[in-house]
Amino acid sequence: MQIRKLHIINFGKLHDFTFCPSEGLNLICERNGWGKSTLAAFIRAMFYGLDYTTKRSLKENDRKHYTPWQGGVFGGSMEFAAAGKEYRAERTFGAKDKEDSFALYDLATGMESADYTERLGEELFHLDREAFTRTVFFVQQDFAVVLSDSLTAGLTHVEEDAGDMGNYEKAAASLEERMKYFRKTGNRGRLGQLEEERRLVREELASCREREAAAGDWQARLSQKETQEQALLEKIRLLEAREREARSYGEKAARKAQLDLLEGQARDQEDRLRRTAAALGAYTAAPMAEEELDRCYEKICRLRTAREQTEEARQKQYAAEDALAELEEDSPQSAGARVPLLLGICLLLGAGTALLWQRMWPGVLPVVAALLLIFQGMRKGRLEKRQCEEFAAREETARRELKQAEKNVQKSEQAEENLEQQICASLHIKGEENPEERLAALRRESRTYAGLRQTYASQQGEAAKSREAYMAYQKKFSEQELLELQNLEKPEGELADILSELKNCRVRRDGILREQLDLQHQLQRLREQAERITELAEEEERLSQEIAAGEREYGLLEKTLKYLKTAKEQFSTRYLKELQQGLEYYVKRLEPEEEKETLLDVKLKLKVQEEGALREMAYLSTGWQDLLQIAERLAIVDALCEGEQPVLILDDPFVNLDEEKQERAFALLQKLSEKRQMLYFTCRKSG
Amino acid sequence: MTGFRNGSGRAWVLPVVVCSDLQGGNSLKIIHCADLHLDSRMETGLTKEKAKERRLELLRTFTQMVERGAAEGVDAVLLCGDLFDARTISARARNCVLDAVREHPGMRFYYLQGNHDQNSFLSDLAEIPENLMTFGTDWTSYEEQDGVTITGAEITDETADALTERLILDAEGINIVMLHGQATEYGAKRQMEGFSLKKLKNRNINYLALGHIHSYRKERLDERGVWCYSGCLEGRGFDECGEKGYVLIEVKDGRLSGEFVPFACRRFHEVRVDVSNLLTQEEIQRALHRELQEIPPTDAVKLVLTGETAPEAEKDAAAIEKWLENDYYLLKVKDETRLAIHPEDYQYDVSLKGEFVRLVLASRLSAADKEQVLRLGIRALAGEE
Repeated sequence: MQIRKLHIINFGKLHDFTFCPSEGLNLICERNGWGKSTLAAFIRAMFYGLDYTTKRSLKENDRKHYTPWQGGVFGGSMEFAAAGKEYRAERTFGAKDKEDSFALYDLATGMESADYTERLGEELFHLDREAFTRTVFFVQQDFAVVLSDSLTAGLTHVEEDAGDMGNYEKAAASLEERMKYFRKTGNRGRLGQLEEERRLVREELASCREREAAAGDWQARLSQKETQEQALLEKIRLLEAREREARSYGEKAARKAQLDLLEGQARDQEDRLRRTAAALGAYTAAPMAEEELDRCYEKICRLRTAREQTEEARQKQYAAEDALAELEEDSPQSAGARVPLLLGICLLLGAGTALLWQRMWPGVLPVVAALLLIFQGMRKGRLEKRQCEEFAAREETARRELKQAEKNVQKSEQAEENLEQQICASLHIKGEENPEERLAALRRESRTYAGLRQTYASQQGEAAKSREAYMAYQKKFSEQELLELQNLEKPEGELADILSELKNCRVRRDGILREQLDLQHQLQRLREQAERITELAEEEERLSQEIAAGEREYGLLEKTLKYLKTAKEQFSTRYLKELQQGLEYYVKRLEPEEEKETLLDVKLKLKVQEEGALREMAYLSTGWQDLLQIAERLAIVDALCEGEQPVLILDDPFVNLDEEKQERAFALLQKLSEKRQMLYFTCRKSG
Repeated sequence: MTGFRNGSGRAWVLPVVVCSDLQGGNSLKIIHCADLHLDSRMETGLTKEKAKERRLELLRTFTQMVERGAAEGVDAVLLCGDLFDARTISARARNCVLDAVREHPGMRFYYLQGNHDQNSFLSDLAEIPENLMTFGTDWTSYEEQDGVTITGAEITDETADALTERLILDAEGINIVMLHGQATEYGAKRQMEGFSLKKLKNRNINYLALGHIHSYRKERLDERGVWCYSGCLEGRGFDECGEKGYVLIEVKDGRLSGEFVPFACRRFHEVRVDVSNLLTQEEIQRALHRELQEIPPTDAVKLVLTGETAPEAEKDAAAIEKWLENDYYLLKVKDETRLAIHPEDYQYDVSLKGEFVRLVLASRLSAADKEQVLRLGIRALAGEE
């Protein structure tokens, strides 16, 4: 591979700069600050572009470092020949890699080419940017500071980084160290510690779970004891009740007797009252009241009086009738007066006829007699008349009296009848019945009724009193007490027996309570321990997670180390032989007179056989160290670059060599430049 | 469908259930929460002390939820399973729950056991408080006020199908049904505690209060009701990221409405940051800072680094963890970046590194192992620890 032309539009301090290197060795000898490193960086940027990084350090941030000082388009072009064709690669750079552009043109056709992409360096040399930088691109970063050590430092860098071999030990040590953090021999280390912690936690957790299970058993036992205790307590209560019953039986019995007595009295009174009420109930209607009976009696008396009066009136009537009859019997007979008169008349008439007719004077006597008789008869008639008149008066009186008597009788009879009717009506009797008897009967009945009423009233009061007394006494007791009194029975067993059994039960209960207390304490302890299950399970989980994470990391570290070891071995075996041969070749070319036996170990550490032993580079002079490291670097370039031979860029590498070695080195470079292009930067014309 | 608000919203309202008993003008407030996992172990890589602290925070959040409910006039609390995490319950957790129940006698606590609850809490109680309602393996219903009925059952694999078929609810009331398990559209027999949503459709359910899934989710069940997972009350790890809390349900005038109430004292975040093309630690830190600036320092953060990074990128998960460890309650860094190594870059790299890279790339290691081995090897060769 050959670079034909470099054109910088703007790159760092370089602006519109064109450089056309020739084939072979190109010596660029310019003063400090000319821009040699910038040109070298531009060449690398043409092959690999510019990395994007946020690092602020200019040494680590090429994009920032080489941003054009004067602004304008950042980039340029490079014409090169590779694989028999010529190309021009154009790159511009932005603030970020996304703003970069790349174009490749085939110079033969002038057309854009797709033979290579923006990964131009990798595709040409089969080296990535890092490898390129570590091998063929050796830029003196800071001439002013470490001019004399630059080569050594650069070569060491290359040597170590040429496969990160120097870092391998450190990396492996770091990985092993980290693995040791997790596991050390004898099951030590963090994982061992965690596993031990977890073992202890698991043991405790298992113990707590056993205790949790045991707590269940203890709970069952406690429940059993509680049941027993409850049963005994129930029995004790019963016995205590029996004891109390036995002790209070006498008192209760007296109360019960009193209660029964009062109840009996109340009941008797109620029975009597009920009987009286029944007797009273037998009366369909209330008998006549005494006053009414008295009034009836009065009527009867009045009837009796009326009857007497009637009788009297009747007697008077009879008397009047008798008197009248008697009067009538004694009534003057007109015939009596008339008889003498008539007789006298007759006699007079006869005697007068006889005298007149017969003049029988004797017959005067009959006339006298007749006159006498007529006189008498007249006197008698007057008498009779007077008597008649008297009689008539008397008769009239008698008749009036009789009439009056009759009236009186009638009136009395009327009164009597009225009274009788009233009495009959009052006494509900018929006329033929004896009112007095009836009255007497009614009076008896009334008196009986009144007696019953009085008795009822009296009994009612007594019954109420009895009931009240009973209720008042009953109220002294609760329903329960009354029920107890009602069902009061003489307690079974003797008090002494009850007390004995009670004592026995109490002793047994106390024993069970003590056992219960023990069980509760045990249960409490078990539960307290079981309560730790959550905490321990969490701890176990946390430890398990930490162990799992640790094991995973340990495993990953182990795998990383394994793959790193394998990579190192593969890398070593792939390049070591070639490197060793190349190294020997270049050492011989650089120092053909001194045959130094060199050895490159797998860590790419260069050792030299001196005085029969392999020695570190540090034992050699600086010149020899530089020489050997140049040889090693050239060998590495030969070994690593499988594709196009890259341009070798050297930045004053021979500064520490003596003149003889410089000449040989330069001669070597000239020899090497026969088959590869080289850009050699120096600020010394002598170099 | 009228009456529903968009399912993605935090607050929603269901259609009115027409029933004279439900028009009383009173309102019934109910908290629906689940999956508290009290006494749970923390699997987030918390230190022992922080794990303990976090367990206490779970208890404190539960207590604060009940206290806030009491202050806001909540009538009932639905605990839809997995109140506790394991068989053994600490005295602290047991007392915390019992105190909350006993100190709020006016609130009814409906405790449905989940697959993590192993009856330890109830079996240890000498006496179950009157306001703590429990459920069995068959449907149990409790009448709440204003025509609201709360029904629940603890499902098992054996009973799930038969159980749903036996559910009979009054069409004229508001029915809240509690279940704990994996809701599937058609049921999945092999799935633990799974039940079919299809079988619960058209059974007069207004609100299906669910537990088991640790994130809030609400969907329509049928024309009448919704099913809703309240999610857990507090996240316990980075598999429980996002807002956590409870659902506040309100029944008023026959209308049931609800709202998700974020209540966790801390949130877990997973933040994925693409660190491609970032080479220095400073650049990476700036990128992380941009992503993290809105996350409060009390929260836990899992940073997942993604993208492709160059082997020389100064990306160090441990260093990032160290850098941010005091800025958040918990910070974890997971490196999911891929190593930007292209075989063609090393095709002509005549160096140990090139040899190493080619060898590893050609190996039979897994892609992840390859990346790690390359990263370790390249960094070791570069002299980095």
